[in-house]
Amino acid sequence: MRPTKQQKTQLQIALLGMDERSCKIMTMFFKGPCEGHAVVVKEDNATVAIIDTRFEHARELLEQSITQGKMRAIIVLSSQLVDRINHDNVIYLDKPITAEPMFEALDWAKDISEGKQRGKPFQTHRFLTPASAATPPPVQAAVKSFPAPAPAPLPVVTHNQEPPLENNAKPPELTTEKPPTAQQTPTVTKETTAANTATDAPVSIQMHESDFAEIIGTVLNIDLTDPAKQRTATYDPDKYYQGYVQRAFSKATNEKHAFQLTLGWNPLIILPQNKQIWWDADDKLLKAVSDIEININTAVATSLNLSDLNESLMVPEKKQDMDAFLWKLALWSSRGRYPQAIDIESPIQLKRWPNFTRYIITPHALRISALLIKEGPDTMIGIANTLNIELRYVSIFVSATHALGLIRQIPSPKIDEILMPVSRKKSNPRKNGILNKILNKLLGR
Amino acid sequence: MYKIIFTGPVGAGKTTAIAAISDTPPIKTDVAASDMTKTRKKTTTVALDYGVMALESGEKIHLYGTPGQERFNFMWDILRSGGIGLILLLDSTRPDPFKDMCFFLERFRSFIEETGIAIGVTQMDLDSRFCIDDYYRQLKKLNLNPPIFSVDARVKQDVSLLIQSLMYSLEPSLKTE
Repeated sequence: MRPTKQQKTQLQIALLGMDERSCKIMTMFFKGPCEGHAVVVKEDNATVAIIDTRFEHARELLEQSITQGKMRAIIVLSSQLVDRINHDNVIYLDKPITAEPMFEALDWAKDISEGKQRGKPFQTHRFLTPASAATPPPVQAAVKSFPAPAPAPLPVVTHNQEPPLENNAKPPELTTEKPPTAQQTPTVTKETTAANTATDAPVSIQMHESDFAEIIGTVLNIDLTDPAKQRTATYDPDKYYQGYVQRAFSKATNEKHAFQLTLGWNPLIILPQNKQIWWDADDKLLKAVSDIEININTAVATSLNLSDLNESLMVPEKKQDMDAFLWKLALWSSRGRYPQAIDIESPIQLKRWPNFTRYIITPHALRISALLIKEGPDTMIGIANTLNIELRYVSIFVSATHALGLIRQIPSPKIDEILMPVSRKKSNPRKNGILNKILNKLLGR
Repeated sequence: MYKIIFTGPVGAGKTTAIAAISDTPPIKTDVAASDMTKTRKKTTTVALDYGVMALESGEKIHLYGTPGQERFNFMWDILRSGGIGLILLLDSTRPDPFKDMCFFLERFRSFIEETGIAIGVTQMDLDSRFCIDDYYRQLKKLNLNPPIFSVDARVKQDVSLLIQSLMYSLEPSLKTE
């Protein structure tokens, strides 16, 4: 078939190694924002290739394409900052992929494919610092060993990206560059519209003790079924994805501005106006990444202009409540340990009941909440003893509530802001019997 | 005779919540709304709703829903005698859900003090004016700190959690078999 006049002027692009979904997204992008200046064609007809390093054999495809020399220009989409091929006809686009760099890359590819001499529009290693260049991010490598996430079509945004977080910052601050003043006004309407399309709220999961290992997991090298180990089993949320997400949430909420957090896997978009996040991955991946200790700072916080978000790519089912997301992230980071910041000997005050209908409910979480609200602050050990439960169930509850800012530790003499308990009268044993029966009925026991 | 009372303003989901948790088809006394209520829902509860949770021991927990309209105030006094606790359902899309909350907390104040309360806020996905924290701030002014969850009254698990939290609020040391 002879190409039409329009096709002759279009940039002919092959998407190498991508799955059907990503191909559709790219096709939509070329038809929409690119206004048809580029078109997806079969490899044999293409002059330019786009390769996404997320997919299997991406490296081989890239090397093959370079060797064969059929493609005049190759655009590589990658979140990896190292191990990149330096070649005149290859340009790397850092993930998250945003519209402007993509336009620039396509414009460059078009010139190259037409035989024009032109330098690359931007440095492909622009976020790479000497320190981080020496060591590949362990996070990316670790993620690879888990079940592959669904390929991520990324919402198209304009952005101003920041360098990676400072290595020596503790806790590292998420510093970001705001967009130009003219674009700073949050487009509330856009975000509200997106929120309104959200699907029904997810139903909570209520765990039994026997579900703990399966749903929450275990900690390597620590047997948390051993009471002695439970007492010393702490973790530092700042060293995990949890810490980065917490700081990004805090920043987005304080500044009332949307952000995108990128840390070597699917980016997280934070929409503080409706307390929602958008993440194109499932809980399996979240559980996997939550357990990875992050040794170097590869987090990139990107300030987003909501008006530039491509709503068509923001599939509603990928939206989640911010608190519910952070809650489960803390559960999977903790896995039965408690945050280092918590002193096991000091009383804990629970400010209010967690919104349990939207969270994963760990064993005894309702009882712990009720005890702390009704009886007032107590130490973790005290709670475990009073309720006659393993400390790890208290630890994981403390981790999640601490992440959401629902608990605080205060020295015993200063406990003076305790709210009056809801129920001021102790129920009698006969009544307790009926309450137990109701609970057994509700829990199906 | 053990009762759990469901109360709240018109359209908050009392009838639906009882239906979600009842072991028998609930007895509904909804009729076509003919007063100001009809702007919010097509039917309204003019007397009360009734459902049953049948326990394994043969005992029954009676679930009563109060009428949502203020002109049936007298029913509430009848319903709340002998109750285990109160489930207050609020509709976040109403003009002033905090005013609703204060109204019902005041109305059932002595009952709540004698027993306990858990609060469910419905339709939060349809109205983002307030979050759960906002409700807590209001409750704190009243020196109360009960369980309060966003709920979908159609979802059994949501209603179950409200009742569970009520049970544990009454006695945290309860342990299921």
